[in-house]
Amino acid sequence: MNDLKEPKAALRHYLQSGREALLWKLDGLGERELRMPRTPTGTNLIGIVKHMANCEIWYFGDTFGREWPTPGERITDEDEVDPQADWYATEHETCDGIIDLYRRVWTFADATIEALPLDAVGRVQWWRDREPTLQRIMVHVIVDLMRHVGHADILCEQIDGRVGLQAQTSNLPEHHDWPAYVAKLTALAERF
Amino acid sequence: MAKLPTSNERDALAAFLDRQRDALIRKARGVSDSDARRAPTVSSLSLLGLLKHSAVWEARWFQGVVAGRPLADGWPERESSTPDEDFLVDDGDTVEQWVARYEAEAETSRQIVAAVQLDDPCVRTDIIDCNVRCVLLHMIEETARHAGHADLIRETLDGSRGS
Repeated sequence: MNDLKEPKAALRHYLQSGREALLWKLDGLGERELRMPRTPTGTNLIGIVKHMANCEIWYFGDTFGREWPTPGERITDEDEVDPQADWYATEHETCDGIIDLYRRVWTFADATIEALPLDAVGRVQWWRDREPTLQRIMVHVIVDLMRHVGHADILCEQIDGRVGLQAQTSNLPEHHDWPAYVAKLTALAERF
Repeated sequence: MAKLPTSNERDALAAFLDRQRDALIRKARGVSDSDARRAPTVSSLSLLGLLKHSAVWEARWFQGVVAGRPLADGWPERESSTPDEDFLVDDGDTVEQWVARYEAEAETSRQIVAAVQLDDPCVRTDIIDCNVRCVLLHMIEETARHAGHADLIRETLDGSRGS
């Protein structure tokens, strides 16, 4: 944990563990399962990854004057005719391709984080604070990412019952009878 | 949405955490106590369970770990024998009660954070060897993830969505 005492290392740790938790959630699921919309607003697992890839390209690239090397791979203004364009995989994309894109975006984003001090100023036109620091951008992306990982937690549990915090530690009590626990909560709720 | 303070890193992180707490509380507001106790998705999580868990761990991290104060539930020396008891709610638990408790714990946390520096080590280094910055970042990402759980639970309950 010594690394975590250094401000940038701590931010990088939380960013990276969120990224890995998200991809771990998708592990072993097929093209159809990853694409299937699972809430009334169409939230789907591969869409979360595509959204986060585009977020990181924007926040760690454009915000600090760095261009993503292969513009055809990202959501552009032309795609914005479909406001949900970054939230699902098109017919011509594959889930593996989007996951690969996300991993390459990590390397791209990490280069920005490595090169700049935390108080480096970027530019986000639509923010009230138009000149946020790299530190602020990192916290913003971590928050956005973790909230979406929270969505993925529930969606994955719906698909195959898989739960847990991250690959290394589930953070859940072992050998607990979850069906019995859910039955207990249901019975409790139904008394009202 | 209020502008985040940019004057110093500590206040900025504290304000970020406030936003995550508010997001979680907003998801529970306007929901009946009965619905808030329900676990409407396949997950065993309920809105009230998330609030209770967040309030309990808010106190454990800031009062317990950062400030080294003894806690009413005896954590960490006294461990509950019921797994995930902090998520478990019954008919004695209400939204109003747990929002109030969460807000009260958050206020205590704010006072603790305002009196220390981010590089200061936590008092209870025997529990975790980290500094105040690390605890704040952990609570930001943890609360954001739970707000993500709350998003889908609330959408399942009544179709409402949004940040």
